[in-house]
Amino acid sequence: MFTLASQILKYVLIILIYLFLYRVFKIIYLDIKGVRRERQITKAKLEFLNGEGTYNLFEVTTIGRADDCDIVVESPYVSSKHAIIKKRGKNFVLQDLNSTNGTILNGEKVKKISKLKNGDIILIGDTELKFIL
Amino acid sequence: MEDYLKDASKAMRYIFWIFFIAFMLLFIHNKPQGFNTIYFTLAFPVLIYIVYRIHIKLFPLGEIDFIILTSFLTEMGLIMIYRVAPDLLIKQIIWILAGFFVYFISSYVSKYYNILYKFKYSEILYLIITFILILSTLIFGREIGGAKNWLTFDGIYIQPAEAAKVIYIIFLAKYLSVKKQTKDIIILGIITILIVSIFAVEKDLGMAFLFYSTTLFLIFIGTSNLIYTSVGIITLVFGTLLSYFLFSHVRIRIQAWLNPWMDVPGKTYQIVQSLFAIGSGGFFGTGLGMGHPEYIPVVSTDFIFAAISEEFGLLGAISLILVYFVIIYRGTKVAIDSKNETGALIAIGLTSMFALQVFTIIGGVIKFIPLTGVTLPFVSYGGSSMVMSFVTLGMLNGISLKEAEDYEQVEPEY
Repeated sequence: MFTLASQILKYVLIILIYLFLYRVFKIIYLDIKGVRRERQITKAKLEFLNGEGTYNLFEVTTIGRADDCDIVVESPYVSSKHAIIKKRGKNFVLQDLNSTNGTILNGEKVKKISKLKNGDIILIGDTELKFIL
Repeated sequence: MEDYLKDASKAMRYIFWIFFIAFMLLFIHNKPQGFNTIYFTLAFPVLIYIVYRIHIKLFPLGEIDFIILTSFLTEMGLIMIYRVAPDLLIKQIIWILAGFFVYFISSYVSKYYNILYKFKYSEILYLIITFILILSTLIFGREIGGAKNWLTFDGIYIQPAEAAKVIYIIFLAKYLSVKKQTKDIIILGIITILIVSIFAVEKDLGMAFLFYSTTLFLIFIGTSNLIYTSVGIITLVFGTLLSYFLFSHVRIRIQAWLNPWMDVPGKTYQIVQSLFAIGSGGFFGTGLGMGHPEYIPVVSTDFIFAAISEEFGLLGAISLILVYFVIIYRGTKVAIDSKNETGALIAIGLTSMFALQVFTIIGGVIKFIPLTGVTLPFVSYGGSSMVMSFVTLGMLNGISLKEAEDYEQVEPEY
């Protein structure tokens, strides 16, 4: 009786182990895909109102004075890493990165995370940017 | 993030099912004496579930894979330990509990790993601790299973070399991130050869190999210099040849590796029994309780991989190796993502030590390389090894958390 049970269940155990491994590799796959997705270009745009030009947004876009930011704003009032815009599902959210002068969205200071909609005006330091979806 | 957790909880569900089926079978097979065993066994799935939940709560950006994979590995270890040595089960579960506890502690500590180097002579301090730990067994140690690498306190056996591994890497990472001149590398080489020769006197060849090759790995990664690395490899080959002629125990191991059939009842008994066990397993294994792992010597520690190959078959053994690969992959990724050189070197040092340990013991058991006695992390029975393996992963988790949080909160600058 035990022999039979053990003989049958050993196949069940192997199948369960490989289902487990499938899930583990799927987590790894999602992780790798997530990293790549950060650099994907989206349809949303950010327009400099002083006429410096229009930039396409990535899934994750950093804004600041430092050279390694995705959008570099040359101004003494802008912190080196000032703000970040991320895509969450279908929406875009704006987050202030503890900048010295703060980020202002449509006249209101961004405390933590704010949702963006078409035509929003973002004030970073002394530079005005328009969000276009 | 949400998809990610969905898969994680599904993986945990499969772990529970494997646990349930395997222990149902084993309870019928072993007929447990007393209720203690059953209570402790049932505590294990509760424990890993709680740890899984706490990990998600405390470290939402942490490496949840580590918890899932170690749950699987410790579970496979528990199944096999209960199969071959039922008395050790309760102790092993307590060690796993202690292991998860130190995992969280070392995650928090290594998140601020800069504190580790705050004192003036901290590097030298870590080096001295390493030497004290290694030398302690030479002086006060006790010989078990051919190697003098155990300390005993009132019946508790500990292996200081396991702790020395982590502390030595903390020293090595700082040393190599600051000093990269030829003269510094030569000093490091002398230190390493000293450590290796202490291990050789203790007849702990596995640890000697682990320390030497991890240092070599880190020198290569830290300096990217092919000359140092090739000199290191030549020294390794030369040292192996030298110790073959000098030490009889090295000679026996290498002869047993080249020709295991020369003295089956005597010198090569271990490796031959291990090979028989792996051979009789086949693809799907003999089924739990149907094989004869009791013929393999030291089966609950060094040779547990042979027992798993016998009862879970080639497929079960491969799944174990794949899980180790995923852990090594995640560890390497932590090192690559780390922006601080010291952090990256600690991460890659811990990962390569872990990887080499897995390679040494699995390779030894399947007669791919000469057999040396180190434990299979998370699976073998043993407190020191279990706790220190959890510390290794905890530190990797901490370093990865530091990177993730640095990215989220950037300091204001002007």
